[in-house]
Amino acid sequence: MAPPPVTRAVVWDIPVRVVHWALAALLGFSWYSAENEMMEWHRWSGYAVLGLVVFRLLWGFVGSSTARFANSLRSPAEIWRYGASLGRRTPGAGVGHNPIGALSVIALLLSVAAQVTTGLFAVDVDGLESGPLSDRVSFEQGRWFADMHDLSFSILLVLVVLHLVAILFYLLYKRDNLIAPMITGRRRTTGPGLTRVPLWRLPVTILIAGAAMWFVSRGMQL
Amino acid sequence: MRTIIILAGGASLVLGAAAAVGQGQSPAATAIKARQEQFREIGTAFKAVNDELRKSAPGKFAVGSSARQIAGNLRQVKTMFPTGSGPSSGIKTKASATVWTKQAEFLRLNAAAIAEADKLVLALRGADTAAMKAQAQSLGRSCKACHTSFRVGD
Repeated sequence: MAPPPVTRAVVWDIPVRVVHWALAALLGFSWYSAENEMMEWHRWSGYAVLGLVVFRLLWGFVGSSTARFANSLRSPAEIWRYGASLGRRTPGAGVGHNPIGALSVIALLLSVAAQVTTGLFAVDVDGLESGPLSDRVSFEQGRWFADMHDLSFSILLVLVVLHLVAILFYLLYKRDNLIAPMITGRRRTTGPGLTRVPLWRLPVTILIAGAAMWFVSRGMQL
Repeated sequence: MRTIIILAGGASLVLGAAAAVGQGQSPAATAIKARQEQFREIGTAFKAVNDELRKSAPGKFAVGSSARQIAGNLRQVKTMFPTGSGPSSGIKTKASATVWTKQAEFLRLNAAAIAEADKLVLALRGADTAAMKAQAQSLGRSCKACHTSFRVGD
C-alpha cells in the first residue's frame, strides 16, 4: 500500500493564531506601559488580555479540533512516551498540540489569567492607580494583590522564556519549524488537518469575551 | 518523670519566646512598626475616599473623616522617622536613607502633602464632585512625589 501523501494541511485556525500573536504583543505592551507609568494604556492593555483569555478559554471548548483542550490533554503515559521521543532529531508526526506542548499552553494561559486577575484587584501606595475591582477588597488585600501581580509576572516571564527555548529546540534540534504554522496556519503532514466548527460560533464567542471585558472595565457595575 | 521533662521543655520554650519578643522592641523597631501602621492607616483611609469617589453617586459625607485622618497622620510624619530608624538599623524598612540625608526636602514634600490633604477635607465638605475627584488626584500626586524620592521598592 502506498504511503499517504504529504499535504500542507490547515492545523491552526485563525482565532488561535490571532490570540497567540495578539497575546504576545499585548503582554509586551502591558509590561512596557507599566514600566513607563502609562497606566491608562496599561489598564486597557490588561482588559484586552482579559478579553483574549476569556475568548481562548471558551474557544478551547467550542472551537476547531486543534484549539480544544480535550484534544490536547493526554494521559501521563502518553506524555511520558512523548518526552522520550524528544531526543529524536526528526519532526513530530502529529497535528495540533503535542502532549507536552498542551501542558505548556495550559500553564501559560493560567499564568496570564493570574496576571490579569491580580491586576484587577491591585491597589497602589500613592492612591492614584488601582485596579477596576479593587473597591471590592480592603487596602491590605489590594496591596497583597499588587505584590502577587508582581510575582505572577516573574512566573509568566519564566514560562515565556521556556516557551521560546522550546520553540528554538524544535527548530534547531528536531528540525521542526513550529513558527510558520502559527502564522500561516498550515503544516506539512501526512495526516488530516483540523476539523472546523460552524462559523457562527466565532462571532458569538467574540461577543461574550467582549462583554466580559467591557463589564470588568466598568468595575463590574452596570 | 517524663511529665516533668515535657513541662520543663514547654516552659523554657514559652519563656524563651517571651524573652525574644521583649528583646525585639528596640527603639528603631518600635518606630518602624509604628510608622508602617500609620501609613497603612493613610492608605486605608485614602482608599475609602477613592472608592467612594469612584461611585456614580458618591456619598461624600461618608469619607470626610477618612480625609481628616489622612491629614492628621501626615502631620505626624516628622516625628515618625527618628535618627537610626532607617536602612542602617538593619531592620526591614521601605524608608530610603534619603529621608535623613535630604531631610529638608523630605519635610517640604510632607508639608505639601499636608496642604493637599487639608484641601481634600475642604473639597469633601462642598458639593462639587469633580473638584473632589481632582483634589484626590492632587493628593495622590503629592503622595507619589514623596514616595519616589524617599521610599524604596514597588
